[in-house]
Amino acid sequence: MSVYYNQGSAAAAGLVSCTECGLVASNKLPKCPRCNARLHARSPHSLQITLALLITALVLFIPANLLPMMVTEQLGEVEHNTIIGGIILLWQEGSQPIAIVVFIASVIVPVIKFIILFFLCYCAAFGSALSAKTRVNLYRLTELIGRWSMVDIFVVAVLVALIHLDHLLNVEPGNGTIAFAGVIILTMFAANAFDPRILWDQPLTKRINNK
Amino acid sequence: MTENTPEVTAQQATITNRDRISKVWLIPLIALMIGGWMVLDTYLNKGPEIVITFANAQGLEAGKTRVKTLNVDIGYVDKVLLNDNHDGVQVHAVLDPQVKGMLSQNAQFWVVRPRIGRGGISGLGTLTSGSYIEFVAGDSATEALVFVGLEEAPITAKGIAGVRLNLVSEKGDSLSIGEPVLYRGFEVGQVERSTFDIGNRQVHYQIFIKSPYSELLTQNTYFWNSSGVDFSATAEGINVNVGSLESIISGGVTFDVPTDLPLGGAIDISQDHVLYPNKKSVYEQRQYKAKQFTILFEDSVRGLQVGAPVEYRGIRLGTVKNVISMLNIGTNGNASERRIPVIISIEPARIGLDDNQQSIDKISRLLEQETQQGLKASLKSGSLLTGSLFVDLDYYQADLGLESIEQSNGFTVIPSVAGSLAQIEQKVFSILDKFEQMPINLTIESINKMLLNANSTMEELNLAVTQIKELLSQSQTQAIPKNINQALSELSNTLNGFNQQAPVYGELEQTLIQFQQLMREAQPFIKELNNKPNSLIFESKAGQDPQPKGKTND
Repeated sequence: MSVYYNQGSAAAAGLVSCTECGLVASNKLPKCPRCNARLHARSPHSLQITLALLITALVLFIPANLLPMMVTEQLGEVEHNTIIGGIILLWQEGSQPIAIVVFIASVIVPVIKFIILFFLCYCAAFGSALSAKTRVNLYRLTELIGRWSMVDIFVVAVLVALIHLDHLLNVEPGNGTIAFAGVIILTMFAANAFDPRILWDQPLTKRINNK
Repeated sequence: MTENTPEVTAQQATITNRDRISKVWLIPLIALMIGGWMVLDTYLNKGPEIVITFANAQGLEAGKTRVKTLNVDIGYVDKVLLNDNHDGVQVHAVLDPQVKGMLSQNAQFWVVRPRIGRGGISGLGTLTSGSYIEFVAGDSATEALVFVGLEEAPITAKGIAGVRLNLVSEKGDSLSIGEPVLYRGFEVGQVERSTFDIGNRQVHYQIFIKSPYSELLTQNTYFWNSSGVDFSATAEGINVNVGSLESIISGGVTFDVPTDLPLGGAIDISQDHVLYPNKKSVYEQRQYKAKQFTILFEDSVRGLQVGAPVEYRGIRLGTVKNVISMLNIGTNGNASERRIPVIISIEPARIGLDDNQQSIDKISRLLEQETQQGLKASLKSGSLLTGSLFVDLDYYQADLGLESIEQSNGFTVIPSVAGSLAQIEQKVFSILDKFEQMPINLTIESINKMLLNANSTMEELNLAVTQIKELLSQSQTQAIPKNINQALSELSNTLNGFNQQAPVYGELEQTLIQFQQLMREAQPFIKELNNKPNSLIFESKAGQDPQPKGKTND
């Protein structure tokens, strides 16, 4: 069993850290003696859950970009804005800084998150040249930036709540909003489900070879 | 230690290898399934893509312009392209799947833009919302995906039930599309189309009358133009007819059944109906079934217009159809024919007969019969102001020997007499002629002669007077009055003898009184004698006193 865990890791030493309270306990114990949470040397199916959620998010990312985020009715003229369409519009209308902010929050961040999480999953499975430390940093980055993607959703929510002037000016959320929110939430769950302790272990392929 | 054992065993973790595949994969699977289903659904329920051609793409924007029917959003314009000939645009529109069945061949598409016309302002909403394409489903069975867009909104939408009628007008009555069709001032339809027929030089209108009102249309319905203000000054006075305010501004068509006609059966939609210039002309010029006759006039027909009435003692029988301006010299087998033929039509429906062939036969038989009795036509002045003439039928001295009925210009001829004006004219002329023909010179000569004679007579008279004077101055003549006086005084003496105081008169009076007395005394005897003539001979019995006879009661 110890073959899975790299030398120097807690698991290799027969210790398990509680995911809830951080107490380091013996891996012989089923539950944390302090907080009574279940102890896992590694979160079960962490990699699979992350991957599954990531793939779901990726599927949702398609309608999120194709469907309109925001339906604006201005003087009777109905306009459907997708994420990219809205950014282009903002840029053309002269609000380049806002366009950049929206672009980063709505496009760059989710994409980076996808890339990093997929990369980390790949690393866990096949190993990589990057040091464990760098990978952990990458993981932390995803947790840090993940929540900022919600900016777009917040903007839509606030506008919808505030602007209700009937035909004069009206904003309603498009179906893209749901998909986009789904993408963000799923990527956050994916990041959460990813057990960073895997990053210290032997790649999955190696484990299988070692069997 | 032993009491610690259960705790230790309880705390002993069981190390297991979990299933190789987590159940969490269901999540992406479900997501993919939902996604796939959505894609499939979108693909399957994809609405029809249609192409509409327009002259230009004013107000049309790819991706934005909507397609609507009954103001329901049913699609959007996907692409706006130039057509192959570069003289128009092709609008590609994606419609909702629900309208699939509505895309029949004669479906109508037009761009709704703000429009200000005589019929009012329309499409005001598009000022703010932008133009959109309006779509009205057709009723044809064949479906199509390529349509020719209308440049203007149709006046009446396809789906509305009603009756379409064609009207024909000789005059350009300035009716334009969208003007109202009125029935007693109530708007029941609209003018849909106006075309000018170059061949016939007539204006054709297509009008549409909405469904419940279309039942007002019957066989005897007449249409007239109620445009604006109708002002006419006739011998009857000044007549101003004003329609509704809307019709003053924009005009319109009014229809109704004339008050003197029954409603009649259903209207014949396939036939063209006449659009009369005004209400009055409906009564004057409306088309009846008619029999035509010819009248040959000796008089001038100046002032006789086509459409002038034909009357019998003030009752209108028909209309002047044609005044043939060319003399028909030589026709009728008569080289000296100089009369002017006037074609009239006798319309039996005007005098309460049915508007059918039977009444025409009846009236024409009657007329032919009555011409034998002296029925003749003459031209009479209808209005001294305008000098217009009409044809009057009346009885005159019957021409003897008018056995065969004359024919001219293909119609039976009604004989004519000179008109009243012409008659007066003739009389004046004949009087003047007589004056002209009078031997005034001779008369004056004879007057002169007479005067000469008179002169000599006067001289003789003078002579006689002087002779009388001479006679009177003689002494015997002057003694005559004295003699007469003497004679008269003698006569009065004689008469004095018969005076009341005279003795002769007194005796006569006395004699008469005595005679009266005698008669009185003789009266009972005479009575006796009367009652009993034999009383002179036989003694008379005292008879019963006569009893007065009263009226017997039995």
